[in-house]
Amino acid sequence: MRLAIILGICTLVLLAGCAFRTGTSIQEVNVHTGTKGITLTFLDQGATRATYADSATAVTYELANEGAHDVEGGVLSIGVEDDFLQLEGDRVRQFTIDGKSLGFPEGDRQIQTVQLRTKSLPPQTETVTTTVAVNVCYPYLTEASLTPCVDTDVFGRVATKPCRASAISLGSQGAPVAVTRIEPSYTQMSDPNLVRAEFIIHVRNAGGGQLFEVDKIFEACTPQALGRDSWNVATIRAYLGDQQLDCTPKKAGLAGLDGHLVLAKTEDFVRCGLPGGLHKSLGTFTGTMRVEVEYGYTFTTTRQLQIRRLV
Amino acid sequence: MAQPQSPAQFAPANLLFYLAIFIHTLDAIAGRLTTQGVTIPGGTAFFLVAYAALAVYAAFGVFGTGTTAEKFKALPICLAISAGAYLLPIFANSIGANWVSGGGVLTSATLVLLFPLWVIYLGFFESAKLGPKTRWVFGAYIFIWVLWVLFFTAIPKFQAVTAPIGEGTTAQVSPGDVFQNLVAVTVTNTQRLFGVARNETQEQINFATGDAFTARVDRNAKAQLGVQLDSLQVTQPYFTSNDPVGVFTKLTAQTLDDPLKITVKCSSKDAPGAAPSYSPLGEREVFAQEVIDIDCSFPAGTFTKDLAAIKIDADFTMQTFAYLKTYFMDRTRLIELRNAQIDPFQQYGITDRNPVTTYTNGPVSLAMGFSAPPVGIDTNVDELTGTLGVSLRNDWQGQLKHISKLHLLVPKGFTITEITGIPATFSKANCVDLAPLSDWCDDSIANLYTVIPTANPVAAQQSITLRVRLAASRSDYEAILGTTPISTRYFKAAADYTYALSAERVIPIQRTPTTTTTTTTQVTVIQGEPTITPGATAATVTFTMDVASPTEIKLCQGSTMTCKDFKLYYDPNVTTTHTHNLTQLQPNTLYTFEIAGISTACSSNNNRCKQDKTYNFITQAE
Repeated sequence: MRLAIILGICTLVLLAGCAFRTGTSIQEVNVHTGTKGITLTFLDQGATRATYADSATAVTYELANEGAHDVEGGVLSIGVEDDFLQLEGDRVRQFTIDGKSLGFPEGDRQIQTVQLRTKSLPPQTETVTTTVAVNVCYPYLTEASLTPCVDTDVFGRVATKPCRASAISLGSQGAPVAVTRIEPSYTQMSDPNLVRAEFIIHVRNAGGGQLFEVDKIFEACTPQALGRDSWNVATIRAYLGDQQLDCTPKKAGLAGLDGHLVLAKTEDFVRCGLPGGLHKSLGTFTGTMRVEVEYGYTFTTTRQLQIRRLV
Repeated sequence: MAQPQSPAQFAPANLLFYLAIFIHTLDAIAGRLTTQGVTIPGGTAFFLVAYAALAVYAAFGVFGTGTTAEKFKALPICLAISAGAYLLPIFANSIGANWVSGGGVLTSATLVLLFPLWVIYLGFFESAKLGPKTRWVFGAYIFIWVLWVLFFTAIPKFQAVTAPIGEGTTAQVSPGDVFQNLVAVTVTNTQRLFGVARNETQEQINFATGDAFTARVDRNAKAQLGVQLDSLQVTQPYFTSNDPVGVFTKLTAQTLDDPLKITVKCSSKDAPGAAPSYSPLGEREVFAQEVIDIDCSFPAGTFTKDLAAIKIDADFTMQTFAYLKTYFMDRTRLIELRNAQIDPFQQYGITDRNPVTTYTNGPVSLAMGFSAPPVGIDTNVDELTGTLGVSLRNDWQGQLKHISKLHLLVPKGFTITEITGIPATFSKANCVDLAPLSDWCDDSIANLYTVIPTANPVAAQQSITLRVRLAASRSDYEAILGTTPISTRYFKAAADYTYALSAERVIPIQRTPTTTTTTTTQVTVIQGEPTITPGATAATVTFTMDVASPTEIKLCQGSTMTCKDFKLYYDPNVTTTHTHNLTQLQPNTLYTFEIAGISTACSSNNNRCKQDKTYNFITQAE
């Protein structure tokens, strides 16, 4: 009898642990949303906005990856006004930070501190305001997935189709650069059995920073020039099913299928076509398409610090 | 149907219309835009007053008809229109930052489009109050206005008016973003509006002579540094030639670092050889803040004229410190960014786009000017040259007597090769040479130079300018550019000088006999009333004293004895009956006088036994 009571209590305890979730299912987290990549926020803790001359102070910031791509080989450079502040430690630092994923939907966050020492104030001066700037440069990748309607019936001879080919507008993909719209077009090729499938892919810089060539991460955060036509550019790759599309325009002097974006006015588009075309026998179907935009991204966050004379 | 009105009835509205066009045009041309327009010092305050005056005139002179209450009733609407007209260009400046980035033409166009609220209101809603010619002018104005709109719509840059997409939004231009941007801009500009209105006139100084460098006094400074000399006070209400002549004043001195060395001197040009007794004597050092009393006294009989000009000079050593922030970038990178239409300031989070010199407060302002930032460093050339302009301006009413030294700190990498403008010698120095005040100077980030200028004394509101030639060689570029995409560097200057303040007062000295034959020792009192016989320019006063003594009449123009320009009439005769001839009077003028007997019994009052009563008379008309 006593054993039965103990078993009963244990059963009740176990049952109590079960939540009644009738009518609900496990929520799927979409990490490919939002227009943020790496963010840097100065924290008030540990960093007084006003400090005194000839004293040690610190500026603390949170580096977060709020996008959907892991960053490896990111660089940040810390700029201080040497006349008022002495920075202790490296001015140029590398970082690696994971992005959002299904297993880690918040993305990685790192708290970092810059140790500073305030210098003496100039004569007859009571306070000065100085600026601490952190330049962040990192490689990033935007990945957009969609299911366009692939239609080889270019003359509209089939009355009933499983889908209709039309332009697709997209929101954001968990990156500062967003694929915003894809416009498919299907036209007859010279071979009567083949259809030319082309997609105009629109891309927009939706973050607050600037794009640059992905292989110049260190240069972007240091003083040197990046080279002609290195700003506002990105490489784009598009796939229909498993086959990579041929995108134009291309970067000058480069062959291959990758396209070259120049987002001078924050947006640009490329035209991507399926090499060889589609056979008409494929009919009309819903395909899977993947677009990748690869770029370097940079932004700067500043913080003002007031230095007061210690009377 | 509206009755035709006579032109006379149109006058107030017409005047308002043309005044509005004038102010709007002035606003558009002179501009209150900080980035594109031509900033005029005090412009914010001027336009604030102008638009307020426009509203008041509209309410009381044009729209408010009949009673005063009705006029006041019209005032809020008029003020609202003026407020809109005043604020719109300020908001347009930031909201339309992308619109106007094309340059001055678009800036003016944006202003013309956005803010002539008064003109629009009068033309569209109150046209009945305007005269026929004014209505025609308005039609022409609207025609030009439409042309501007057409011009705008033909410019792709203007069409691409989108709010920047912030973090966390989708890749669409959402109205929410635009609204959010507008709210943020509104808050920022309201703060800026009040900040500018309060500080602009006091803090911005444009140098009228020499280089037009702009400088701003340290806005964080609370202490009034330097020396202030109050006006001179006299030790007596009036002096006779028998009196010692004394003045006194107060000197307030304040410093934060170096002690101020103050030398006080008292003199009179009317008695060049005189040796007044004064304090403090010699050089006096002031640390922090101190108030010093200054006294100066000339012995009796020093002055032989009717007027004595007494002057107190306070010479003090002072230091003014100034710094100018600027930004450097690799020139190739700068060109790359501009070709890519990336604003380097925006990209690197720099809000202070056009830094001006900040100088410590005091009698002399110190301003510097260098190339417009960001300054591109061309790493492909062997040597980079530039010119730093340094101006010292005498802001107070004293004299900048002597500039003993000018310490110049240029960013590490730059060297001074030549100084022109005024004769000066310079030499490289080390921060340790500035001891004990060298801790603000750092040899590792700046090159220190000591400049000895040979300048004449600088009068009030005048300035002198040095042109400092700088050079940097290829090996120095790294030091200038630093390790970040844009480097912030400072030019600093500290001027050591002697400044002279002076205060002068002209004191009337009444002539009295140096000696009297008989000295009365009793208190003298007038007997009865004096007999007054006024003429046009003179009067005779006869009276009797109870004791034989000399007498004196003090005469003031007006009905009281509080005048400063009084006249004294002295009768040295030791008698009881006196007759004074009061001369040099104005016709048909009221005068008041008092009588005093001279007696040693009244020694506490300079031997004057003043009577309780005063008398007055009016001179005759000519």
